[in-house]
Amino acid sequence: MQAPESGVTVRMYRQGHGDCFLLATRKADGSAFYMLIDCGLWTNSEIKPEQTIDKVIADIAEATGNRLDVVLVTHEHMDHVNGFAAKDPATRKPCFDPIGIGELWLAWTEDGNDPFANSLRERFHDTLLALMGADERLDRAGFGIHSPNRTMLRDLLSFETGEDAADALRERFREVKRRHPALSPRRQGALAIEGITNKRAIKYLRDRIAGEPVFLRPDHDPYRLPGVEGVRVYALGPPRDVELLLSLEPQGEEEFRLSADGATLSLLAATVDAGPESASRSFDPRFGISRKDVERSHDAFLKAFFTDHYGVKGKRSAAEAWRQIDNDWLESAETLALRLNDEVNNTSLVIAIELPGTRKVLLFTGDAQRGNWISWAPLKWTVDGQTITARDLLGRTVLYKVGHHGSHNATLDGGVGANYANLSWLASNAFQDEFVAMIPANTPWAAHKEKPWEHPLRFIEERLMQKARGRVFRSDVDHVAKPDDISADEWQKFKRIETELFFEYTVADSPA
Amino acid sequence: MSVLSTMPPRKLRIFAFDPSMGRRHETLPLNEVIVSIPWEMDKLDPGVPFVGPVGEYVEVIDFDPSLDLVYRPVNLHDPSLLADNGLRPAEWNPQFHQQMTYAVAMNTIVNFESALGRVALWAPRDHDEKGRWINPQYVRRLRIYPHALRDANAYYSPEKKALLFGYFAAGEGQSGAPAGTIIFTCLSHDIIAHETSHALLDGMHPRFSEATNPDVLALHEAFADIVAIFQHFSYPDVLKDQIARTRGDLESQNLLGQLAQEFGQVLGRGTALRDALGGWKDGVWRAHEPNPKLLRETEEVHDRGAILVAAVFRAFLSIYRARISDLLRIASSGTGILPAGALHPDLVNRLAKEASKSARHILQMCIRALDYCPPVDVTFGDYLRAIITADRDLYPEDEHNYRVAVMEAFLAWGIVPRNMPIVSVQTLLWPTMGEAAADYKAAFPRLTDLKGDVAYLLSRPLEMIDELKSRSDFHDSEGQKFLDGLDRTAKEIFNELTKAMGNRLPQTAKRSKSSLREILGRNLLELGLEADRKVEWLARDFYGRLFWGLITEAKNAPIRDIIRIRTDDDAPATVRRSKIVTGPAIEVHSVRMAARRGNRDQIEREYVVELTQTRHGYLDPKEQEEADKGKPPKDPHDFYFRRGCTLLIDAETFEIRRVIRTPGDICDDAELERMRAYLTRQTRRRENAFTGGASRPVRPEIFAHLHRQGS
Repeated sequence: MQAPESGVTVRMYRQGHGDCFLLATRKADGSAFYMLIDCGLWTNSEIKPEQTIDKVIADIAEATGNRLDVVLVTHEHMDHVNGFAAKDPATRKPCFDPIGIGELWLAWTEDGNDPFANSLRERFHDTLLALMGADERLDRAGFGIHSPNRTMLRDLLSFETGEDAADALRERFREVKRRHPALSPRRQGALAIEGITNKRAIKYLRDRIAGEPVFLRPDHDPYRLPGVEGVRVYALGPPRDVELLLSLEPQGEEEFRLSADGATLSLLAATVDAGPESASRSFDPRFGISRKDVERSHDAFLKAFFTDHYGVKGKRSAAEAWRQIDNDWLESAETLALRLNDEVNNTSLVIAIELPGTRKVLLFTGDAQRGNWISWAPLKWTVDGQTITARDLLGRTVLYKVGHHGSHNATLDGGVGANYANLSWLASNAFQDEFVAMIPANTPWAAHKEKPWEHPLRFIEERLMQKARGRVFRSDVDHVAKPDDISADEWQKFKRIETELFFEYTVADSPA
Repeated sequence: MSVLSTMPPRKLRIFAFDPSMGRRHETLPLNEVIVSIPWEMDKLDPGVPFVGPVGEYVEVIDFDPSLDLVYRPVNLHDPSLLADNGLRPAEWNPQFHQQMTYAVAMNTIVNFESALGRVALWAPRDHDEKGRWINPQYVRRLRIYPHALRDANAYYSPEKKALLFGYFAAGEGQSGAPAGTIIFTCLSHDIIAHETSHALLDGMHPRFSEATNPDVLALHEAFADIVAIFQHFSYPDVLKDQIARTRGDLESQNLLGQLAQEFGQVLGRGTALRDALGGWKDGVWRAHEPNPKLLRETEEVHDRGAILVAAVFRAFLSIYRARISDLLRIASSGTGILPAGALHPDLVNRLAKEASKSARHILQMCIRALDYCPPVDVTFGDYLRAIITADRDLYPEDEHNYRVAVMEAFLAWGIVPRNMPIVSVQTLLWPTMGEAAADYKAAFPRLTDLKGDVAYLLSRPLEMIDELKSRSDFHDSEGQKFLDGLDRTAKEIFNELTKAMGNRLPQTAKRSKSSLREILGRNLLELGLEADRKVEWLARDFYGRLFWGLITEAKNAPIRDIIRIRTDDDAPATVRRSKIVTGPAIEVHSVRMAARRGNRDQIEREYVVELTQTRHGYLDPKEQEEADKGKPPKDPHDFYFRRGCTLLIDAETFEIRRVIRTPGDICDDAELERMRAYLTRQTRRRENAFTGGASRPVRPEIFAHLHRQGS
């Protein structure tokens, strides 16, 4: 892959439901600079069976001559990172081994020296463990992995772990418990979580670089691409504002709880930490009598009362069995899992790459959702004595990597006059003539899930089509089609490469 | 007279708010109140155990599935509890949790029954676990699970006819509880009252959980909040301390508002209320000025609901203010400026009493209004008309200008009935049958006959059955089935009634059995609060079917026209057809009686009859057009479009007092389009980043869902 004469070339891989973008530009010394943003694929979501993630990685190696100057990971979800944990089936060696990696760029939320980031991570761990436990309880209650109240939960767990739901995590958790029985369950959980695919992917990258990763923060001066002159990289997110990051509602005295909230903790206590003397109990032990004991109790009165009114375990034929609530409590898990998913998406590292000449911007948002978008409006930087606002950058955006496969809440809608960043803020004035959007998505696959995912949302795709005048790449559509109302002349200017494996498009640092 | 009916009320202790008050020194005196529940509600011999409590209306089953633990049920007839108003408030004792959920739920039921003058019934079970329709089954008791969920959530389950309460660990910075300790939603007075209200409303109006316009579910939520808030204010002791502290200053109204919104906070429901009622600025809480435009801009259920709560709250404040103005004048020797220092305790008591009376009055108005709503597709505007009309029919003179207060408050918040050119207390009244007929320019004479027919139906049901049997259009098998069903229900009523009488009378006093004819020869709905609930349930259904027989008669076509019930065969093919008679089907949803005590202590009684019609709706207008012509697409219909009418019939004169209709009739395409547009907007709304929106107005466990959304 050649670095362009001027500007940046973007190669969008078409592996399936997942992100992988290779960027090339020219260094000051004339050689090529390569940057990779994310590399992941939801298991079995390939658009074309032969275009696997291994093939994508092999192509990256070939295109870059085995040298990535920067690898940037937006956030820790399977469909963005599991490529870094992928292994060559023949050699069992990581697929990325042959590729040299210069720097690793991560969001500040990955920084182990940042207390704020650490407490966030603790919250995520607790939630993940609680959900793992809830899934296990559903399993024990006889719900198969395809039962309606488990499919969504398991899908969401797959995002977080990078593997099939939480099954492997559960195994590791048991293993850790056996090996370190003296540790607290939360500590045991943290150890187990270190082994999940997503964590291994990040660890792999960190081990591959010399020194520490660069942790990008929105309150930091624009970053420079090593060896490249002029190009500036602004971090727009993730926000440092807890309220926006976690989409929490202010509680009581307007204080925020960063640790997992009470509902999560009590779910965690019941599902992971359960034991007769454990903290999961809500009353002193003298009060509760286990159901089994009640059913075989010598206390004929209590037995009769309970079995008459509630019923006997497993007997669905009892007259009032339709009123039993054995598993209703586990339905909280899905809500919690959705929230965790949103929160992790909101930790996405969002970057605006600004070209030195025309000052055009390429915007990569990861899977940033509402809270992250909302946080951009007040951002500003001083560059060469000049104030640059986030709004300036968005207005100059000519390439937009659409967030979260074009889902709801990941591309905000609103007017130019809105006081928060939204689609109308992107590509204003002349920049709109060049505006291009890239949507990584496998729509037919998403639509065939048991509970179909609307990726991309039709409404958002239509808005993008309108704004980009048809120049929208969607990874599962082989060719970008010319809309009827666009003249052939205009379409002619939209230069691109379309292959089975990727799309390639160059934002030149010269006027359109 | 039996011993039981002379028993004093059952008194039980509850937390006045929730356990947090007892942890704060300054609010400790407010920690506990005692509720009184008439003994007749659970007519149990104090000599026998009362465990669960499992009574006549509710059953508390304390099983925690997450821990697989059963908590031993409390026995409220344990002598030590009987003598001491039950257990003392104790978070650490699950038996107190059982007592508190029972007591607050029962107290809410008492408020409903006294406002409506009849026994409360739960929604029947009409589908099985797989969602298949079954013959409606009587559900005697609402089930209460105090420890069902591990979540900051509590909800009414229409599927299980049960209240499920959750508990959770308090997080850092949670107000009211130290981090790590457990917060039980079943110990919050307001949460219990809120959920019980959902169940009671569902029992009255099962179709109010169908989201056919932005107001329906919002009304459900708002109504449950209103009951919780005003039931709370009706305990005078709760307010005394607060009134003393603010010196009865008119600004104390703000304090009430602040209290009102704190109620929902545990479940995060306070946010919506906070936004609607007021907020803190520079350390001072201020009520928001009403914003008449807000309603138009708001579509989310809780946000809309909060506007209704704010409107009712505003009405409450102006009533309260009017009621205490004389007291303040007396106390300030006419200056309006109270002397410095603490208020005289007598004045505090009087102010608290006025606040409590105002709260009770507002609460009763809001509950009574439920009988004056259209049976389906209700809106806030309808509810306003319902409140005004219900109050007018009970108290013809608006002595304290309550109705004006309500109207003013609703208008201030932009709640106006649709298509109403002139809004006044007069125009807000639902039309009488005479007015409806005059507007329709219909022939009048049949109305007098109808009166006679209704009288006949209600007072001599058996003869009405005989008459129906002679109707020529009931001779086919479906007609025969209908008639057989009537006979069957009549016998069932007879059996249940005999059983109930047997239970009520001591063995020695057993009368000779009355005959079927004897029992059905009188009006079963007149029993009011004395009724056996199963008999009442059967009787409502029975009279409903008789009324169906009456309204479908050919000679009553002009009346059907006036109340906009369509039975002509050229109605679109999507309108559900009757199996028994020709033409579109009419569903009669129970005939119930409302009895209320007016201001001269006269008992005002009326029958409430609800009629609805149903039509299959399609989101795609083209599909609709085809289906209307009798060529339905292969896919099933997307929604039900319903229209209907509530009739209020005077129990003395059998005159139709009020005609309460949904706009348009079942053939009205503009109304259908309005609903379609709403549902289409809903499909575009997304609740999460993955799955689609909710275009279906009917969803299982809708309240669990709503509450999660709101939290």
